[in-house]
Amino acid sequence: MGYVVDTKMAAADPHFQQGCVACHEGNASGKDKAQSHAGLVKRPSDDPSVCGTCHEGIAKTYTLSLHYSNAGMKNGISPRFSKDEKHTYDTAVFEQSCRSCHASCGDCHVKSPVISGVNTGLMDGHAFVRKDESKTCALCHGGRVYPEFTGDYGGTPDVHYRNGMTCLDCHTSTQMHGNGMSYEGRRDVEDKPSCLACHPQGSEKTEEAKSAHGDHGEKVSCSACHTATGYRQCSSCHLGEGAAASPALILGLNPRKEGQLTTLRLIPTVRSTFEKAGIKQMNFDSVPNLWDTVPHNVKKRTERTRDCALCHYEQENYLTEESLPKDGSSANLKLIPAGH
Amino acid sequence: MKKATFGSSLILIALVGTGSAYAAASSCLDCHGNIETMKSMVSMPVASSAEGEG
Repeated sequence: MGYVVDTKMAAADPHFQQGCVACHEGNASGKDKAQSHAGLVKRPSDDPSVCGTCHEGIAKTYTLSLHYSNAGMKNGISPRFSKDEKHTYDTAVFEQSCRSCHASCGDCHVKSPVISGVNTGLMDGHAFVRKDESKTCALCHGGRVYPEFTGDYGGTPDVHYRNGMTCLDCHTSTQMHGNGMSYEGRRDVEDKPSCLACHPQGSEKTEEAKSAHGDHGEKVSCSACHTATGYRQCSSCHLGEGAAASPALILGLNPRKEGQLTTLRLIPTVRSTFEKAGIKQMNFDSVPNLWDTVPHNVKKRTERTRDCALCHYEQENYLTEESLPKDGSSANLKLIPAGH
Repeated sequence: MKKATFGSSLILIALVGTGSAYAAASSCLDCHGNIETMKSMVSMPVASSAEGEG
């Protein structure tokens, strides 16, 4: 519950041997709440060097990692801004909003970050939770990816999850904590997860699979065929008041890889997103509202792997002009496959 | 030899001292280690009769 510490756990955990004030400061001899909390540091690991006293290597690389810098979010949105707007965003929006909960050591290992005002408190009585994906990952990535992976949305759980794999089986701790390099976004990370790392082309067990992979090659992404069902689009929650959840499977051209058909996901940025900060997004149309995505509900055999006609004749799930979001970016039009 | 014994004693005291650092610091736990105390310090928001139904 909230901020109740498990005292039995704390007595046995070396993290607590220096006492609470070693990290949280405050006044351990205070007579009441006000005295005790004077000078309290609520989030000591906002400064990773606090943890770096013992975890030196991790603290050093972590300050450059995407989890800490949030550079992917910043660089993803920046093309929509004019030069002046970018300055406003960097100074008035990013640090106070986006980066405010991304992400101290404690946000993943001790206490869930406050999301939209919702505070669920300590993960496990202030234990330093090394690895529990339902908390360490899902408290932030629980809006889309994690429930897709486990099937909590009612869809098909990911084949990897059904076979006992969890987040860290693909996304290594080095990726979580950084490798000492500074990246623009997650797609630039050198050792990011890859389907082909475990499933190299040519290792197929059947001739049909070998032939299908050979024919489609780089022209079609793995997820375009092996995504089991519809996945959550951001419009499911962010379309406005009264919006109904509407998972969908959208196939279109990859905005980051020319000529490749892939799964797309609608992102929540609309023209009015930063209006309160005085940002009109002067270059809103320079980038699309749909981006390539790897839905985490992978399945070996799907409707599309079974039936070529679904894509080659019926072209089911293909992005069309009619299905684009209203008042969206004009760059969305470039993602519509030829003939639509 | 006596110096070594004295040194060992100091180390032992230091180790015992480290153990008691947790106990000394646990004044924070007088409240944060007791769920009933923590509950008594939190005022729950009052929901209107229309909220929470359905």
